[in-house]
Amino acid sequence: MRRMILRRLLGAAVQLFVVTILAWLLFYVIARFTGASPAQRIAGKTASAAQIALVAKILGLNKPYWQQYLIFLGHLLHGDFGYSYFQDRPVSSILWPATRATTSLVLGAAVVWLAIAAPIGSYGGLRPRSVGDVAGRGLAIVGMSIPVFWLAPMISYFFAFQPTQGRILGLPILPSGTTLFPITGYTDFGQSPIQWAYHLILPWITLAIGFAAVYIRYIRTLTAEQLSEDYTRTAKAKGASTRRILLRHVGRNVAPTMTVLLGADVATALSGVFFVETVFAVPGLGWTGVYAIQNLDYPVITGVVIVAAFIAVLANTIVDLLHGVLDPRVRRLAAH
Amino acid sequence: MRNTAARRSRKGVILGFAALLTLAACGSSSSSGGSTTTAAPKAGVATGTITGAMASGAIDTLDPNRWYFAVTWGLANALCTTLIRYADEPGTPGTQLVPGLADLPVISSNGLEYTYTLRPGVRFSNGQAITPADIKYTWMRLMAPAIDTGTGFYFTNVIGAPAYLAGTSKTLPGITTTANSITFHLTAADGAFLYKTALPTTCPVPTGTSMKQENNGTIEQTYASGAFKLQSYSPGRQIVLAFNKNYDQSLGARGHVAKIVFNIGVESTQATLEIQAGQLDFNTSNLATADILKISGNPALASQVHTSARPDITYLFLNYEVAPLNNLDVRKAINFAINRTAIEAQWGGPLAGTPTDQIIPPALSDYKQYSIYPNTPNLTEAKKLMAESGVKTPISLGIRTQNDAPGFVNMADVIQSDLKPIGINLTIEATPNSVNSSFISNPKSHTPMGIEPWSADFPDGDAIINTGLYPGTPDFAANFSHFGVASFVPEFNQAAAALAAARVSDYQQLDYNLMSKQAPYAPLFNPRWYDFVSARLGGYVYSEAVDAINYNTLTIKS
Repeated sequence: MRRMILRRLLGAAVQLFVVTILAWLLFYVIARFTGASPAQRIAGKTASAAQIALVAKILGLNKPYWQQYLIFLGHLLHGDFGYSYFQDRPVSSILWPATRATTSLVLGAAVVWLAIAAPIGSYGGLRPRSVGDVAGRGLAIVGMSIPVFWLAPMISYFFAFQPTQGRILGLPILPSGTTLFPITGYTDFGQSPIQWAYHLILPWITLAIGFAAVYIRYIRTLTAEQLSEDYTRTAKAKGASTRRILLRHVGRNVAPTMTVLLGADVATALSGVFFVETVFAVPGLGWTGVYAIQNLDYPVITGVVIVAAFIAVLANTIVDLLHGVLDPRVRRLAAH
Repeated sequence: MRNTAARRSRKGVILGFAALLTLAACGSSSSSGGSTTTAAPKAGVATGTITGAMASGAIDTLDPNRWYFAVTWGLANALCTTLIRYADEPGTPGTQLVPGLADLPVISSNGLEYTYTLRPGVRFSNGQAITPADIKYTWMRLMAPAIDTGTGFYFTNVIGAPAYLAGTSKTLPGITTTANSITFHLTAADGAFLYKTALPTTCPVPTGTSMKQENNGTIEQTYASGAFKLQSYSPGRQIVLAFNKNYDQSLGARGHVAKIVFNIGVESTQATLEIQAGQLDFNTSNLATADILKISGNPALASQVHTSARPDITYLFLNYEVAPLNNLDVRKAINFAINRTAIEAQWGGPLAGTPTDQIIPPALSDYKQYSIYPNTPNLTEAKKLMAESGVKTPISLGIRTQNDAPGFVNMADVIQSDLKPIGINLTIEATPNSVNSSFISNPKSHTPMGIEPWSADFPDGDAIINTGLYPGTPDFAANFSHFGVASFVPEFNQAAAALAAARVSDYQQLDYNLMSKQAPYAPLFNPRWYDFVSARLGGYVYSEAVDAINYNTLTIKS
């Protein structure tokens, strides 16, 4: 196991190294051929010649490329993502709150989509072609078909706005002025955990619906497969209850595959939640990245790219390690 | 792009304008919005908190000598008092200049000296008196190359300014002070000089303020001079303004709420829902088109909707340096071929704006209606002009526009289909506004044509025509058409220096002459401003001069 952990961590380090090289090439080398010097882009549209020269000096942009990369890497290793001259503050002070907001959104949504998908998918696998299974699969198809850019404003409208007008889902059954959920806004967990959760309930549900639909199908298929295996028939023959078979036997065999999928999907969601963040005004990474692009704020754009890549590598590394913990075959494979 | 983060179009270098004298307070002739006001509250009584929404990217900087976006100028109107300022009135009366830190100036008979006497009792928000020396320092800061205000060139005709702006001199001999007054000495008369001394970038800062850009609002937390001061600013998250107890209320009450909170990053349609739900009071963005239709059609919400004329125009520039747009007949043919009504419909239709074939918007005093080109295509005339031009068709050209604000790509689509029948095939190149602006303002890009929104820096034809088309500087960044017909220079200079009635008629004539004899633009439409505010918000005034809500007049209805 130790060997597997070391190999995986080494792999992650190499991946991150490649990411930093690609980001550096993109923003510091290739950018030179697009009309403006990297120093000029980093210093911002309104920078004076003196400011541009100062930025070039700080980043060593007059030195050989290999030295420039080492300076860039050295700054990153010290948590220094540079300075946003547009926002007039260090990039790290912009990225960390944004990363916290996006992580809050995505991890919370992952809990919600698993909470929806696990019972529905398991039931479908256990009772294929039953009324409940057909209904579950129908829900899954609907969930997968709804684009998030449509779903987000609809959920906000029906569950946050309409209650303030005395209606829910169009029915006039609430007192006028009822506030079930805030229409927009975000509170940091550190300020108030209750307000944090209250402001994120609708964004969590919005983001979770599409993923839940996919996971219902995954879990249903995996459960059905496992239930047709010899070991489950043996368990049944020995008199094990359905609940015990699902939790102790099927669940253990489904978990490694689900862990891999979950890791990949969380990584995808972390870097792609822009629509949800925009509609509910959650100042996360996607929102920050687009805001930076609108303002040609290159240091923040670079930082968002690196952090998003870092999160993807980290999530996949954790998933691989968990996979090893959950599946002995993976450990054995890694040992060879 | 006129939604929220509206960048004002920058003005060209206006060197060497001919002489003349004073400017009477500007007149009025255009239509105005149906804004409402409540009974004037008592001076110094400021209670309650109102909350507004702001789109991400609406703030460029909070440095009081650098800010330039429309939303930031709205904040400037609350945080700052300039030497003279605009009246707190809706519609055209709101473009009148009134005393600010100083009384209206005494102007020498030759129009070369403007003397402003500071009113006693004017102070920064920390209680420190504002002195003439502070005002001179403010000008030195806003014109300093390190600050790069973008509006320093407006004062090029102050004695010594060109060298100071270029960084080759450390002094500004053209600005002198006494114990209670400040005088500007000009090299040439400037009919728009009064307006220029009311620009938000002339917001006073104390002597000794850093000559570096202070974008995070630190100056306005201590040295605000308006009815409000900056309490806090969290970039991308929130701005809080608090009532300034040291504001001199002797000329009338301004600032009637204790606090104004702006939540940044709220999408426009979501903000509309929050206002309707009573969770928000106003939005700094123009109402989205779909919401204009929805809200305007709801009688229960009618009293919460305000609409106003804007000092804005959206136009298609035609680059003289790119063939065949260097041919007058081709430029005229384009003006005859485009469907202005259909183009404006992409912006939102009749509620959201009015098609136009003129350069000066109706919101400015220089406006006088004429009609040269139709709102719907006259293809017979367009084809005739193309034939007379001698240009072989079909021609392939590019049209640039922004793709991060609704409507612009759709407008380009309409223009593309309009010009095809006259043999002009357009390729649409759409990019985010920041990229688009960098591109079209670079003369080396040789952009054939592009759709641009323009907001006047002050309510005068100078801020539209001289800024965007001054033929003496065809390669200036804001002269997207690269208009450089030398025979027009005297006419531009005459209008810029003219005063009062002569000024109005000069700009009206110049507008007509440009469109009938040159057609450097295809003007498209004049957008309107729509605000939807909460039921409890009173004292609403939209400032046509600043192109933003006037926060100084807002009240909470009891």
